[in-house]
Amino acid sequence: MKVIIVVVFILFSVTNAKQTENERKENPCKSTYIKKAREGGLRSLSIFEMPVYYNDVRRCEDVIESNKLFVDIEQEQITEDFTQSKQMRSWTSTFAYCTIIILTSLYMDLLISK
Amino acid sequence: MFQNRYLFIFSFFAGILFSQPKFSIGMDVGYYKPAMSVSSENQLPQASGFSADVLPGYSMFYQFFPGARVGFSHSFSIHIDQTKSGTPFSRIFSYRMFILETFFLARERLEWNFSLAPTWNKGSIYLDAKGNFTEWDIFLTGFNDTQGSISVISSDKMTTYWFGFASFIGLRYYIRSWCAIDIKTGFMNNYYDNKNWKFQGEKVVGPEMTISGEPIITVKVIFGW
Repeated sequence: MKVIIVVVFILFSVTNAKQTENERKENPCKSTYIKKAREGGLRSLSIFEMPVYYNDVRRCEDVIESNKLFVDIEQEQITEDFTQSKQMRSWTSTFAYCTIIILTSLYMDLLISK
Repeated sequence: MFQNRYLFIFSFFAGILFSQPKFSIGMDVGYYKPAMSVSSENQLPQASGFSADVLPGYSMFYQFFPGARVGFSHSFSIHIDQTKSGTPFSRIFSYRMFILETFFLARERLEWNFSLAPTWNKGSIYLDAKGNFTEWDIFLTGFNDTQGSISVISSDKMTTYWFGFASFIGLRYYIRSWCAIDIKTGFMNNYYDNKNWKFQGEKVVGPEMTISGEPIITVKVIFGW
C-alpha cells in the first residue's frame, strides 16, 4: 500500500511538472516561477525553484530584450528585506548589546594585559 | 512521534528544501595570530603565513526568527610540512562554532550583525613515521627472503579537544538579494590545555599554544535564500 501511494505521488508530480515544462518552453516569460516572484517576491521561491526561476529569467530577457522587470523584482525584494529588518525585534537587541559589551571588554582586557 | 529517525531527518531537510526557507551557506577566510611554541627542544616545524594565521572554512545559517539566525561555522588551520628530523608531518586545528546571530539592516543592502558562539574545537597532529618491525622481518625470512630489514611507514595521529567561546560583530553588504559579502571582527577564547592530548588512547603532553584570547577577522561570501 505504501509503495502504491509513493508511486502515485511521484507520477502526479512528474505529470504536473511536464505540463508546466511545456508552458515554460513555449513562453519563458509566462513561467509560474516568474509569476510567483512578481506576486510574492523572491523569498516566496524555494531553494529548488530558484535555479529554475533564474533560468527562466535569462530566457525571458532574451525574448523581451530587457532586464528591467527582473531588476525591479530584485529591488522590491531588497526594499522589503530592509523594511522588515530595519529595526531589531524582541530579544534580539538585548543579545546585540550583550555581544557589544562582551567584545569590548575582551578587547580592553587584551589591551590592558599588553 | 517518528519511529524511524531517518524519516525524521528526511522530513526535516525536505521541509527546508521545499518550503520558503531563510537558509544561507557561506565560504569564509579568517585571520588570527596564534603562538605555537617552536623551540630546539621539540620537533615542530616553523609555521608561517597560510599555515599559521589563515583560517579557511565554511558556514551555514538558518533564520529562525525575524532578525535572528542560528548556524554552524567550521574553520581550519592546516600546516603540512616535515619535522626537524625530516618526518612527514601535518597539523590540523578545527574551530567549530555553534553560532547565534542577531542582525538589522542599517540601510538598504547594509546589515549589522552580532554573534555569540560556544565552540568545540579539535586539534590533530599526524606523523608518517618510518621504522623497522622485527615481526615483518621474521615473517619474510620464513619464505627465505634475503633482502634484510625493510622500513615500514607507520602513520598515526595524536588528538585533543577543547571548549571555547567566540563573539563577533559583522557588517554585511548584499550584492544581490541572494548573495552578500560579510566582514566580521571578533574574539575567540580557547580553553586549550596542552596536557589533554591523546595518542593511542593514552594521555600525552602536546605542544604549548597561546590561543586563550585571539582577536580574529573573517571575510565571508554568503549565498542565501
